[in-house]
Amino acid sequence: MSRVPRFLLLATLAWTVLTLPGLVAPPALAMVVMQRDFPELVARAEQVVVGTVTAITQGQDESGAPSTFVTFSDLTVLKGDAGATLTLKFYGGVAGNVAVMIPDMPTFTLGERDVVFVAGNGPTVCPLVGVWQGRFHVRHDETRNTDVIEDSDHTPVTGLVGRKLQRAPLRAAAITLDVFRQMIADELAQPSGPLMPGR
Amino acid sequence: MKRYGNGALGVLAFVTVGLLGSLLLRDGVAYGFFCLKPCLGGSNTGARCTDDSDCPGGQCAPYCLHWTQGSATLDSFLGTPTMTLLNGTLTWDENAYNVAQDWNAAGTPFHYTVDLEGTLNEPCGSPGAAHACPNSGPVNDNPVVFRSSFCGLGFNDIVAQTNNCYDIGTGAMLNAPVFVNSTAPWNAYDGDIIFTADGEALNDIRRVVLHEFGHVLGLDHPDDHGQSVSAIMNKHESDLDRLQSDDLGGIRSLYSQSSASGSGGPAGSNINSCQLDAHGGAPRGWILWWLPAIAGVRVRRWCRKLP
Repeated sequence: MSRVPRFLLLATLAWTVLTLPGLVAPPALAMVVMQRDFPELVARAEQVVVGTVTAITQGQDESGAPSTFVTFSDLTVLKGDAGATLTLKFYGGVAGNVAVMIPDMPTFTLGERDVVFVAGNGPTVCPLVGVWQGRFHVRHDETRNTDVIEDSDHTPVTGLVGRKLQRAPLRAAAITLDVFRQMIADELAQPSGPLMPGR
Repeated sequence: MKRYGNGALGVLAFVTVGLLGSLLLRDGVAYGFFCLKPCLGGSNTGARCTDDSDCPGGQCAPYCLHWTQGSATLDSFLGTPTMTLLNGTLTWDENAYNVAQDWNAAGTPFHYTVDLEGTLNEPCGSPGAAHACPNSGPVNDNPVVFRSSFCGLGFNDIVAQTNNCYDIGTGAMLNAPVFVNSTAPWNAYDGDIIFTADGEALNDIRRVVLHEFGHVLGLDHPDDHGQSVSAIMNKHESDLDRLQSDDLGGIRSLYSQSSASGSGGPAGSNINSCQLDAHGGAPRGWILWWLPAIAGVRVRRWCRKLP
């Protein structure tokens, strides 16, 4: 091979090595939310369920705080107990002519299917472990004819390395719901030990 | 012959990289800041939205949450820490004051005033004369406080939150108290995030409050909208500790045009500008990926001229 194309190929390889991590690297950590890795998501969750959002209502909780109630149906319970439906309470909503919004709060739409890691449903501002970190979208991949997992930002989840979930903008690389369920089951079967103090 | 073939192979490799990058970003949307918008009507009324698809049965507001007077007064009650702050400041309040000045330095008519010796009007409570919204306190009162819970509700994993209270009909902000979770580990420092011995992030009050004050003035998370852009307003953080050009573009979009025209807040054409690409429309990632292909062809031509 002549020198010029080799240089070009090496430059191409170098460019790929330099730029690809920037695209596929997972977010470092959360700014206004405590970072929770995968074992922590599983360990801290009181319930882990796969469900479809079938109702979203607004009102006040028992303390009078404006709240949004998101009901999941068609449940598959992966951890904890749940009835036929699970309703999660999120702080925020309309109160007459005014409204309160917490910008970091996840929002939901009817019909979406999610895997949610639930903790403190009711007495907390947000009932998801790590707020958005504890919410994963289930998307049906028509090409592969299977359900795949995306994070709360709709970035495909591609696997688990150590304690960190991996993400990449390659839809074809997204893990399936079945694989994700197995990862959760494995974590439950082999817990990574007690949670650290204060975490 | 062989030389030409391998040269073409090199170009092909570059083009492949360009195509790969393009494919990776094919679902990307325009980069840039976003303002806070609520759903009007439907099941998600009042919830944050990007477009109408977020608002089943309703629509995404044609306005951004904003301060009609183009200013807001923050009352910092963060106080003084018991430990030495790593960035050399002496109080939490000093950091709150400094980050407000960062936003003021954006050069827009919007202005934060920070009161460090005010009287605390309790933000928690039912709506009424003393509370513009539930748990928000009086109109135009924006306390910044350490609390172990949010008005009786546990923070769970939230480190700090802004409670934006607004008029649902106009998007006019009424107040926006900031609650900082006192049970989390805090300090104030510049540079990369520091981790404690048990692996937990040591929260930097400066950058967290800098982010929250962005919410107070009406900015949303750019990375909540399928983007990858450098910004303090991202909900995910790299090791940024200062406002970025995208953050500054956000406040300018929200307040410059409207204030200059005297319309008193985002309206009309200004509304859309906070949703649009701050950098001209094309996702910048495309350029990064095609750059070697363009440069590679030029290098190849140059190299072929060498003896």
